[in-house]
Amino acid sequence: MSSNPAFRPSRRALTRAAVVAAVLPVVALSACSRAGTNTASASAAPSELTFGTQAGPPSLNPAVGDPAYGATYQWAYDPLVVMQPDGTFAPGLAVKFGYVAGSSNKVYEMTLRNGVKFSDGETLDAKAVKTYLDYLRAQKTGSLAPLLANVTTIDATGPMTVRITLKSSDPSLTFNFAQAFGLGNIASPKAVANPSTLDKSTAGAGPYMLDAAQTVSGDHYTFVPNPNYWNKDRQHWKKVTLRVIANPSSMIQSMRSGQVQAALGDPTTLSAAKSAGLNVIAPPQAMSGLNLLDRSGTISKPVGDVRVRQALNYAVDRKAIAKALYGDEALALSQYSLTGQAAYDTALNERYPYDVAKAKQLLAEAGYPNGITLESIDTTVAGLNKLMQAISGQLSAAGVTLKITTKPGVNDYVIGMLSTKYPTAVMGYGLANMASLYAGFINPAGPFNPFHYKDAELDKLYAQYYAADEEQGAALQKQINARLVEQAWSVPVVGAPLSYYTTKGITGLDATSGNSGVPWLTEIRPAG
Amino acid sequence: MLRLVARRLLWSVPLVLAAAAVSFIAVGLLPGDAARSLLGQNATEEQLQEARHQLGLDLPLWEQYWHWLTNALHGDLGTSLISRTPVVDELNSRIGASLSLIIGATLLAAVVGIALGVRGARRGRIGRLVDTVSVIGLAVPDFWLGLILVVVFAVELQLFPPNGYVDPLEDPIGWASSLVLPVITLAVPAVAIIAKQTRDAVATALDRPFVRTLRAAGISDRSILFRHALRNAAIPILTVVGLVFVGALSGTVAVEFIFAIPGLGSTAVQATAAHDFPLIQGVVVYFTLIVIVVNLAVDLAYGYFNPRVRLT
Repeated sequence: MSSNPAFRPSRRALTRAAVVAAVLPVVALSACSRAGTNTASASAAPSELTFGTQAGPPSLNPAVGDPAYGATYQWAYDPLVVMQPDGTFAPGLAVKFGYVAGSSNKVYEMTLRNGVKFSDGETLDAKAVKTYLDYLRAQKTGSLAPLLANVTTIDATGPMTVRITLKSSDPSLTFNFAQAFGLGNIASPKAVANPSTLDKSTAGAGPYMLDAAQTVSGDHYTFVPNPNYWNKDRQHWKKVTLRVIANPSSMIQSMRSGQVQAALGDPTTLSAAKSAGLNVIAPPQAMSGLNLLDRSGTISKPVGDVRVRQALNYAVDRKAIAKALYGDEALALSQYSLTGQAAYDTALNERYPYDVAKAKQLLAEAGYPNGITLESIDTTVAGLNKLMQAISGQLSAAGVTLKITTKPGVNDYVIGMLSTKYPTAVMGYGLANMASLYAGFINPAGPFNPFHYKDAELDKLYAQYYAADEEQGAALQKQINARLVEQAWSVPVVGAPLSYYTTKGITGLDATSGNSGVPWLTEIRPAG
Repeated sequence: MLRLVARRLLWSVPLVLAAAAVSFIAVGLLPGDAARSLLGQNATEEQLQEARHQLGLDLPLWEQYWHWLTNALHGDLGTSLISRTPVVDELNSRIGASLSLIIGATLLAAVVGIALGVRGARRGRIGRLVDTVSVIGLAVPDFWLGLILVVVFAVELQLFPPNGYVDPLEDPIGWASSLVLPVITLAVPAVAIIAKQTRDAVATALDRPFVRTLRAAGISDRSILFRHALRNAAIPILTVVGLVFVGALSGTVAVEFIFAIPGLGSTAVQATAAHDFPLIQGVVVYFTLIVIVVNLAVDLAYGYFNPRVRLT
């Protein structure tokens, strides 16, 4: 106690000083590191891109990966074919592609681009493409191999020419080779010979390649320029980081803070993104509504009656639901195709105008003047349960009661549909063309047709479509669409958007219904 | 004391096995499987059967458990069904983020909670304030608090990143900066619990006869509070701090989701959604081991503060 009490700081002052001393360094250092980033980004066009996505891929191997994670694969793997915003196909790694004339659409040929090398230095040629596609179709897991189940042989008919022979025609093949499904994301033959390397690294012919040292699976994936890329003008960034941010609200905050410049959006944050001043691109992509599974009337006689199915279509105010759920009544959908796609027919939008009286009349004609009650199943995934609540509310005005069972995940929802215990179910089905619609929706073995319903007229139209050339095929797709609408296979309500957000200063992200909402992400570049 | 440690370690073996068995049965009872997650919605039943066979999912549950257990006893927790990477590698790359978050939150909660509790033990307005803060702290949902902190400190003030995790070996400053908001989010409810417990325990200690004796001997209030009362109150406070640490394990699920942190909590959620058996089992084993280590550390701390424990 020798020191003068007048010079001793109080305990309160000491406590405050300690708190400030503890907190300040972190804040100051954090501010310093942020200031560095801001200075760099403010002085010139940004050289690094961070793209936000809600989930990382289950595997980096493009042959067993899922198309849903295309935002990861696209940076490192150029596709054989590029699907453009207007729905046409442009050369990718293949400069010519299509069915051989006179082959009844059973022989498909591709001529490959010269001078292309993979990121590991291997050369792209016909043998490399055959090696990869043969490897892919031999996979027992992954959702891509079944897309080549129809293939008999893949042959390298020349140094740069590949011939694919099919058991039966597949109008989706070119679409499948493009970026949306990524069947044409060719990996180098060296990596295919040692496929475990594809789990941890990339070996594509795309503009970038994975920097494994700067990657944490499921959190962030760092891509750096591929030194062997054939077109340096398409390498717009010195570094691309794919950040996994599962929470859609956190994604918006990341973009507001400047941490992320472009991202996959989410239906629940469309309004928030617009309010935050982000550029929102949200083309309709998935046909969402009420699927009338039991068209044969196996467990629900009413659903087996086409008049009842048509009545349900009249009883839903699609524009009101689209406005309420997505703030955009233009997303209302009453057919099996989207604007910009070959099968789309404006006239079909008028087939079922919102008309509750007409719905009640059709129900009465079918023998249900007092209405009907239908079991149904939905899921919380992608907000489909909210859509179902809206549909259910509107159907009740026509005397139709939905008894809904909600499943939490996609797995449980699909299992519920396949159980054939439910005559109706919510649906969310990505639309591209009538062939991809067939795969899971029309096909009697598809999960969205669990009662294995068949329609002879549809089968006839599909047979003609599969054998037709492109021009005839477009007309036949319209006829298939019209048949589905007339037979009221389901109640399409909205074209749910697949959304993307970008910050100011970013351009090139062209997602449209024409490219099924899956743009070529490597076109993203600094504006100006 | 050594006997205590040995006994605890011996008990940990059946505990880990029991936790793993319970989770194996629970996951087995869930509808759905990893084959569907791997093959997508359009997979046919034949393709699903083939994938199930490849993954060993068509074996009886007990047989799957037995395979898992025999491998686990050799340190091999299997391979993730979805990512096809070894579970141990996958979890080791994530445990650092979770531990940073949990240890940071527990330390922050302990320092602030004990400081508030000690001040509150003197009763009066500060005591009532501690009670009020405790109730508010417990009532605030972590996802709401997290979003508010992000909007204020990351978006508006731009002091900290809004989310993400930085490896401390790559960028120590970035690491500390990335943890500030999630640690505060996770710590706030824990501060409330620790402050309340500390306040009650210290107040009880201050009411005991030895404190009167110390006061009569002329010992200062400050010395009585920090050197005697707080030491006597340490056991219940330590217990609560241990519980807070264990509770933070489950709290990481929400906080890691909000702040996009690649930790064990978010891995548990993803693995469960995908029915990834080996990864779920791995998370359960890691969580159980962490709980065992924390409980052991608390027991050892008891021995430091209470000599009688050292004799057991």
